[in-house]
Amino acid sequence: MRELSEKDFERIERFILGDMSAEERQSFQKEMEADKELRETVLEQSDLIKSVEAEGLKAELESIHSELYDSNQKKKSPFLFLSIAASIAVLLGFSFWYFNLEDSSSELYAEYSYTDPGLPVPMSATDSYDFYDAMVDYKTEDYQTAINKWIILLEAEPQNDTLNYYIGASYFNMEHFDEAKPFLNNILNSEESAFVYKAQYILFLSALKRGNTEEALNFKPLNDSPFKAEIRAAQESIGS
Amino acid sequence: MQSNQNKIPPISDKVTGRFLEHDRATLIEIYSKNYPSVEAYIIQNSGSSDDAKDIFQEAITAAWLNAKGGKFTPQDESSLGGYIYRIAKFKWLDRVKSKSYKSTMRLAEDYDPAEEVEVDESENRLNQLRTIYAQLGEKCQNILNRFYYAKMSLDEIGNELGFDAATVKTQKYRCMKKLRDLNSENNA
Repeated sequence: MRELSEKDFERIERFILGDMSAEERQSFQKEMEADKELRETVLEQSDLIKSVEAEGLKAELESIHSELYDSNQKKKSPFLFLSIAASIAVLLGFSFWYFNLEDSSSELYAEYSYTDPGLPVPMSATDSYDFYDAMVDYKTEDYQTAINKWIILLEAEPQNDTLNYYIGASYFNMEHFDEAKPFLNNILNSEESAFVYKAQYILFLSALKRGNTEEALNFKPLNDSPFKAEIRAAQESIGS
Repeated sequence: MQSNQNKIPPISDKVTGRFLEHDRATLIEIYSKNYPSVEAYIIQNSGSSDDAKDIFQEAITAAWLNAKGGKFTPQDESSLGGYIYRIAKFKWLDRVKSKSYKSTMRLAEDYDPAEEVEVDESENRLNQLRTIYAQLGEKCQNILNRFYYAKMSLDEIGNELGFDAATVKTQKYRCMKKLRDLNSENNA
């Protein structure tokens, strides 16, 4: 194999990449016709460049694939874990729930008011980085920023209960009850979500806060809801 | 010499041009429009979604290689998509046959044996070169990828990697020389 000087290398490269003037190109082609080794070198360089490009393309396609599809597959497991963690939080946290009864729904709301503390943010949550990134905003009460980030994730997984719940909870915490409602209703419509009780409770509190006693009275707490007692008690005090 | 490699393929539309330059937005569009049908086909024919991903990405690469070599000139985006789909099918059939799976597959109506030839030795040679490229150090890969794949200028590469442009140029030459040497060792 002929040694290739930097100068020759650059020249061949300019030919391959189409950087030659028409004139230069013509004379180079003439040279190639007369020189078999040059032809082979050009072909070899061209293949080498293509292999570099093909590797780049492969890496790009991998990244596109995970951008397009992996949010559906990979994120399932952390979210499943989160759901379980959340249901434990519900059971632990709210067995300590304590309340007094008042007679106006709005004051009732003040008594029952509830801010979901959010989920603990682990140090190495690489798979669901974006999710936890928004959870940090949530915890610092920057709810709108959290919503903006979660909404993007929700596009890939519109049925994801964790996302629906926390977007709903964020709106609720901002007292944007109408905006919270569709997200929380998504939870109630999906049967096996760990967030279903919390979602229902927040919806109930929304009705109280808006002074919509009729809607609040019509709430039927879910059978195993840890908030069942609260909801019943609040309803009794409205009704009485 | 009339080599395919040196012929600039006629670019029939913008999508093809952007595909040849592997513009990311174009790749995303091609990917998202065509992957679902390829995946469905492969899963229907006893493959997994991991198989589908492999085959589909190989098919895009082959289509890119053929478009670059002037062997295939898509008329528009949908003909490019159809071409990728057919390559993916051939590739899957090949893999299934080679693994001597029990073949329960039918060939689709749009089967055209003439096109099978297009996935040819130039692709095999390329695959061989890619394994050689993988042996190159990270520093070289960083430079070569930026120059030949990302089409960055020597100045841009220098700024990003902290060299001056002249150093990048020399490094690029050395790295390509190394790649060439690895290739001849491999062929020896």
